[in-house]
Amino acid sequence: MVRVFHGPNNVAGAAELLARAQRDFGYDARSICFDGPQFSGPVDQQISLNVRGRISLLLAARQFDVFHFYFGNTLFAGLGLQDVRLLKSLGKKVFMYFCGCDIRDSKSVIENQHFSACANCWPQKCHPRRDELESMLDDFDGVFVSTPDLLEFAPKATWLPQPIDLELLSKIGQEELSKKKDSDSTRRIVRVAHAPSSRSLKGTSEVRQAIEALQRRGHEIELILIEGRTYKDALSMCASADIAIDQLLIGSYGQFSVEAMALGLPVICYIRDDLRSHYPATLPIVSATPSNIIDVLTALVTNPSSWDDLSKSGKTYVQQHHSSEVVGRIASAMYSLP
Amino acid sequence: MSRIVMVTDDKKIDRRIIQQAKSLTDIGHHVIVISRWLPGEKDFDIVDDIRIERFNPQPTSFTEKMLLQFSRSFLDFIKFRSEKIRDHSFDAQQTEKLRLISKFDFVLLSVLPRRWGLSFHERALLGRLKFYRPDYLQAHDLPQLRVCAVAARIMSIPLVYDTHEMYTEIGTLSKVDRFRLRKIEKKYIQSCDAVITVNPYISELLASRYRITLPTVVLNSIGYRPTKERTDKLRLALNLDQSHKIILYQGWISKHRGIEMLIESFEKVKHQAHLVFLGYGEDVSSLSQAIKERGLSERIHFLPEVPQDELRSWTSSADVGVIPYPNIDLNHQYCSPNKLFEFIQARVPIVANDLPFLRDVITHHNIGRVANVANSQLFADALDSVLYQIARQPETFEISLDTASQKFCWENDAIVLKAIYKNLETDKTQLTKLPNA
Repeated sequence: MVRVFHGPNNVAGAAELLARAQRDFGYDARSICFDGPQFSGPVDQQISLNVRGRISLLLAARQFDVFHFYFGNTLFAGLGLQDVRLLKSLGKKVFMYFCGCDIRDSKSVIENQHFSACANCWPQKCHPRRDELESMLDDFDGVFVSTPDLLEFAPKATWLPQPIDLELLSKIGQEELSKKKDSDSTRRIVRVAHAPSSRSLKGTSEVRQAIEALQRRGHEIELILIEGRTYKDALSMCASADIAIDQLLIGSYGQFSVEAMALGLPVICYIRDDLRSHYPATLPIVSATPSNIIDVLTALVTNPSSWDDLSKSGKTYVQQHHSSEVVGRIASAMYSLP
Repeated sequence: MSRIVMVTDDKKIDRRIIQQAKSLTDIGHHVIVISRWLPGEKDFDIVDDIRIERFNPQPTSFTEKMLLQFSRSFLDFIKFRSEKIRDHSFDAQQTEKLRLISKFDFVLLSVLPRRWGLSFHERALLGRLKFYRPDYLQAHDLPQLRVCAVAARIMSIPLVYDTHEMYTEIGTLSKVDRFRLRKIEKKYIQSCDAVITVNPYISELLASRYRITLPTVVLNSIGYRPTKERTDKLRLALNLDQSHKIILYQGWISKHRGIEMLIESFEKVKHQAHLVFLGYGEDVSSLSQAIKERGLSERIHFLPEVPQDELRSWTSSADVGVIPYPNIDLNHQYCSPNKLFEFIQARVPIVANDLPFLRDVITHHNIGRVANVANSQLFADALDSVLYQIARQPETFEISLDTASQKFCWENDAIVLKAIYKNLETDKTQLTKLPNA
């Protein structure tokens, strides 16, 4: 049986979800991480980022055949990347899952893109070993990227969609849906959920301005700003909304879009035209930028009959492309390749 | 659009650097300024679209981190044991052993980890420069030159060296330091793609000393204002009426700035005037004490520094601006201080020590007087002369200050700076188009 290590970062719960999914179809996969269960269930082994924790990580890793790392970090966890070549020399397979700032070249993005989160990003959040990681791309047995805009910086990578816990999200979505139905007869305000991990990087000020513009035009609309909440609380708040806005600057949809679609919400998010070909044709996200968010939001708010279709399409899309089982199988297929 | 990283040792970033950065940002460049870390200030900030990092050096590798941790633990141990010595818990033999051991720590930090001839601080800074991946590097002043030159070579990018003063000629430097710094400047100035400085005198000195092309002069000027701002801020702050004239010194207050000579001269000024120090510095309290002892507290005043964007309105409310910098070293001799241009734009006539560049600007443009500040009577006479002229024929200085303000304004110097980067860009493009050998 192939033994797969997922860690030591649990970015958006991906390590835990993929390990769990891969166990379900026959792999001996485990998540050993420094991060706690912020966006997922508990990891298989949580370790501390101190000397003892680092040693236990190295000891625990000896038994594995395949290493699936995340966000540019490896067993040396921020102290270097020399372990990659060491693992390869021991006959192990090493894969890296890039999730954004770990491989994105912010300078190139600022120069070439009209809208970019990188232009607003200060201090610069690029991975400190970004250049080293880029030089090592061919050293990995496989490279994954969480969003297609990163393929520019890792051209031979495979797009591995962000995995989510469909069961949990469907359950929360259903709970909130029944609450919404109970109160629907009296409620007329359109609730728009926005959950920025960083306001300047997600275009939150433009989202606020758009909501205020619609309010000035007489629309019954309010913004639900979701920040600093537990994962489950954040999902519940999002599910209680009618529409979700992810981000307006990056050009690819992120984890929040996936979760919002799974919860049954129509989603607005900036999708770059040149990236559309990477996505399935059934992508139901409504694209918007800072320059047209008011118009896009107005069109959606004034057409509530379209929400149902977008909701159903979103759920189907997420089931087909983002369930941890589907994503786990894509990754597993890559492990088996020579 | 290119990314320019500017490096300075300033804790409070000099106005010159912010102006340069802003001008380059205005034409589409992405500018990052790395300055020295200052407790209490944000490590990262954005000012006028300019990204600022206040650099706090961290070890760049695991080995360095361990070495630094060991060194710090070792220093703590030495300190602890030293306290025991002061408590007389150790005998003389042990004391001597500890003294020798503590030297080992200096060797560890200063000598062993050197690579590219850079110190620990420089190496950490090099790591940051590589992280930002600039297209151009600009070193502000000599302390940044070596690390920027090494970085520019490693990254194969152009280097601009902006020397704000004749650093190697600073009088307070020891002979050893001066020799070491000259060696560094001589070695690394050769690898700069452009050298800029603050006035023609320093430009000529650098060119002749290091046998380089004459550095380009970009003055320390400020933005042009078409009219004088009529304010009474100083009078209101000091509760003075219009019959009292105000002589203003603004900026860093230090004994090395000729303040004591200025006070001595001011004592001899016949006109009914007050001397105001608007600024900050380590010598404020000792100077205040000296002024009190001379019985001048009624006529000499200290006001705290004001934000840069408010400074002009305060300056405008003075009658005369004063620059008493003494000729204590070559650096002072060839100075072109910020306040010279601030006075011009505020339309305030100036009295300054008779130094070459100050004489060129003040005397040749008839915007005040120069006199030897070491001769208190001469300097006092110069102050009186300007004060009397203001009283009798204020329009004389007004017209010449208006003319000077149009010449000595940042709008003109920004053109020069932008042209430097345009030329560098052109050179870069031509290099990339060269056919392969």
